[in-house]
Amino acid sequence: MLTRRGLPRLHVPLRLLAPAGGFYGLFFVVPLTILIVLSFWTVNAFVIVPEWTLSNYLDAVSSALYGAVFVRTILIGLGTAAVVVPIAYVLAYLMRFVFERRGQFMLDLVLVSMFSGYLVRIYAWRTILGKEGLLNTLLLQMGVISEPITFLIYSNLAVVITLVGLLLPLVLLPIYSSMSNVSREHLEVARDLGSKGVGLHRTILVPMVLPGLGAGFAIAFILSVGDFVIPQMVGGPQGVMVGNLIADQFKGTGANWSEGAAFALILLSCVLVVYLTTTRAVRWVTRW
Amino acid sequence: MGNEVVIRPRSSGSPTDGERHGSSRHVLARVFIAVVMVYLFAPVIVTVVFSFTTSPRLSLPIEGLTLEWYWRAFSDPLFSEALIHTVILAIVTGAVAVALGVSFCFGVARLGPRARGALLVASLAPAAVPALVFGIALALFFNALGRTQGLVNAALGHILVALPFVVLTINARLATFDFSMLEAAQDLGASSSRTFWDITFPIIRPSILGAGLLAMALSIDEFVVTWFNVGNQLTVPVLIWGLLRRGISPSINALATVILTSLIVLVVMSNLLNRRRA
Amino acid sequence: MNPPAVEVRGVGKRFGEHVALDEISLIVHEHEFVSLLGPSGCGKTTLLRIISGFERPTTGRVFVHGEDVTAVAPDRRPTNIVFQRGALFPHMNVAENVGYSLKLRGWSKDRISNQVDEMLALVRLDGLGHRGPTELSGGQVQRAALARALAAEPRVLLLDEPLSALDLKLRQHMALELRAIQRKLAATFVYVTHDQTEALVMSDRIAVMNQGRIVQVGTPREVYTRPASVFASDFIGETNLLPGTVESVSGQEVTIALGSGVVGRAIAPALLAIGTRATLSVRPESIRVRPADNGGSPGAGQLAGTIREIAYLGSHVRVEVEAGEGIALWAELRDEEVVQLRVGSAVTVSWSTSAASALANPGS
Repeated sequence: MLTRRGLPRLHVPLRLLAPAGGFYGLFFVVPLTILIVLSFWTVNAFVIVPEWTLSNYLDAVSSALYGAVFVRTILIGLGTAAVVVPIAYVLAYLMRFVFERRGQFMLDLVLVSMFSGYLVRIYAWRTILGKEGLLNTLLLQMGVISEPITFLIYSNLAVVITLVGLLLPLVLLPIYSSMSNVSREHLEVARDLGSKGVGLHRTILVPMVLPGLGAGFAIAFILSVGDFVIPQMVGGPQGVMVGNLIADQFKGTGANWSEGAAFALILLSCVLVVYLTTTRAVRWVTRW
Repeated sequence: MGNEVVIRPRSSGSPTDGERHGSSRHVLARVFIAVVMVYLFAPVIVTVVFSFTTSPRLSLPIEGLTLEWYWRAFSDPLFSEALIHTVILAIVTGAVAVALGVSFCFGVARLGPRARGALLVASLAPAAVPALVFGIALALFFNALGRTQGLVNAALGHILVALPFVVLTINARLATFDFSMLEAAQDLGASSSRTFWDITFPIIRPSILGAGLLAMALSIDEFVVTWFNVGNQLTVPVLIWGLLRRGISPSINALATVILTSLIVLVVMSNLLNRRRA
Repeated sequence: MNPPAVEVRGVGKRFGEHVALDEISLIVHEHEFVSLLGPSGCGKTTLLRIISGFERPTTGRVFVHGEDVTAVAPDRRPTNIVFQRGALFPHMNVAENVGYSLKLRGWSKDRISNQVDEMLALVRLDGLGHRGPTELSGGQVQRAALARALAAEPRVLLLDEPLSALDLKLRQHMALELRAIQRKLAATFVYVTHDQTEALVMSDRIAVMNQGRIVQVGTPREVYTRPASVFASDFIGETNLLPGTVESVSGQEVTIALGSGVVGRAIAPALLAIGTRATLSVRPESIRVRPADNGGSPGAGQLAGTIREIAYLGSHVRVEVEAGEGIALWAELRDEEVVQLRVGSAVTVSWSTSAASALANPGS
């Protein structure tokens, strides 16, 4: 930190910040602004009508179909986060405090799996979970089941299984990094004072890594609700999520950009609400 | 990881061992890790294994091994087109994202702690917004400019995807960077560009390469933003997506294995480079 | 007459609301070793960075050998700096580090290598040129950093607490060596430190700094024996600070009432009016403590007291005395001087007037 304190403040950091700042401004902020503006306009036969209206939002809110899709999407997002965060917590704990040096290698392995291809893994899960897929074939051959299990694929279960597999490494990262700040001595002191078992986790470790857990939860939720490939590939006809509604408004046959923009903004606000709630909750609990 | 991990004998310190030497809990821990690893790597293994099997249908037991799917995939002219585009995008993304990210991180390092924190958080924004959302936003932006979709549009999207990760990597390196070295060089008579090429660049070169490889990996794997911006051009993920929607074809496994291998090589190299500290 | 090596004229520096330097002026002569001494945050490093060119002053000007360098960039100033932790370039070996400025000047390889060898010999790193910075000890790193800065043949060498990262023994040793090198080269050194021992050992003159100002400039002896302020007397060396009221003034000599009927005598470096509050500063090694004469009251300039504590510290013995109500002071005595002293015994405390300073209270 000392090295940074003494830096010359006059040496135009602006020149260094400008390229990235300009890039973000032009290709991130401006496009998102256009998205917001368009969501309050309408598109008629692929021609943009620049008149301010709430009709896109009203359509989204009043339609029972869209409403159901939104509710399902949020439930899947929360469900995925609720499954993946505890798994990542246990994994981080084992890597940090039980397997120690080998834990570092395990962490590397998990990170490698993160880069084993997005579409590749979704496709592979379809192969594994399918009606004539690997899992069913295996179970049939082993005689565990006599009929293929049909709810493995084209179901909410398949979506969550695939999402958890995809997101686990990303969720593990912040939790593990929070846990790196907890020293073995902290836990030893706690045990010395009589804390053990689940109580040790509940009263000591979980509060200490709460920021990491919050970040993991937010990441899991954001990436789950924003996905459209997974529901399309393994979710089945009933598995439509908001992502599919949005994608269809831009790529599908009945494309309606402004309606898609409105959906995207509703999704973005859900993400924002969940993000703010988790950070507030984490801050509130840790302060206390 | 701190030194205490090395010095301390495991049996005395490990909290899970508890008061009793709970070897049963240790077994449980191993089982848990094993199940998670299988969960994470099952898709990878399935993809690789089935890219070499003779049966076009996915079934067990495996009947025979073949390289036919690779020949089929590689001999497809669409594949070579997609591959060239993917490589170009990866190189452009790596170079531009690293240039922007390094410059940004050095600029941020010269600010006070508050401004630094705020700008770093802001620079991570694209990672906190679903790719779908800024993918379509970017498409609308180019449409408003009257630009037809294509590789350049996709490249800009890829840079946006990769930049937060480059910033994270470089910034982590700069946390232990001794900035007085730069002043020492300037004090000894070096101009600022000379200082960069003589001192800064050689010292953080491993991290720059690491960040670049990471950016390339993200670019190669990028599908969502690409799909909304690339128009009728092909990249390998877009090609795979097309094949997927047409149904199951074993050449997908071959293509996927190619992607997977290149990603893993890039990420392992990136990881090794980022761990190297001067 | 030659202009001074460094002249700082009315230099002020603000960081937003914070005043780091408050219109400082200072002259450093050629061949002189001047230390900027003060606690952290006093502005000494900022002043050094302004002289080196890494900070621009908000007000005032900086001259090096008569030339106004206020607006000159660090790479064009005839000054070089040695950083706190050396700041050696990790990807170059010691010789490449030392020769870096010469390479920038386009010197030939032979010429660079000669100069590098000479510099390494000067700092006693002969034969270590091929080593990497990570293969050096802490002291060697600072030697290499010194050689690197000296190789550029600066007209003024600036040193920013170069020894602060070293352990005590090495620090003392290196301080003497730095002094020897400066003498040998007849170079001008400006040295920033918060360590008073270092400053006393090395400097021709010390500039004592506090809260963005230079509060005293003088030779080590002057600064130690004739501190100009309570701050200077307290910061440099150890001292007894006894608050009181000025009772009488005769020339430089001042009598201060320390309590009911207890007075101390001292020299005042600046005018003190009778009746004002003042602080008497007297170094513990200047205090004499003797067993009290039977029955007799203490003479002029003497205080009667009782021993509260005797602590053996090896090189000396620390004796704490309570002299009247609430007046506590301590003395450093030699072992044989305490033979007759016991905790609780009555004693007479005295010091020679010239060994004590009467100082205006801060803020008055």
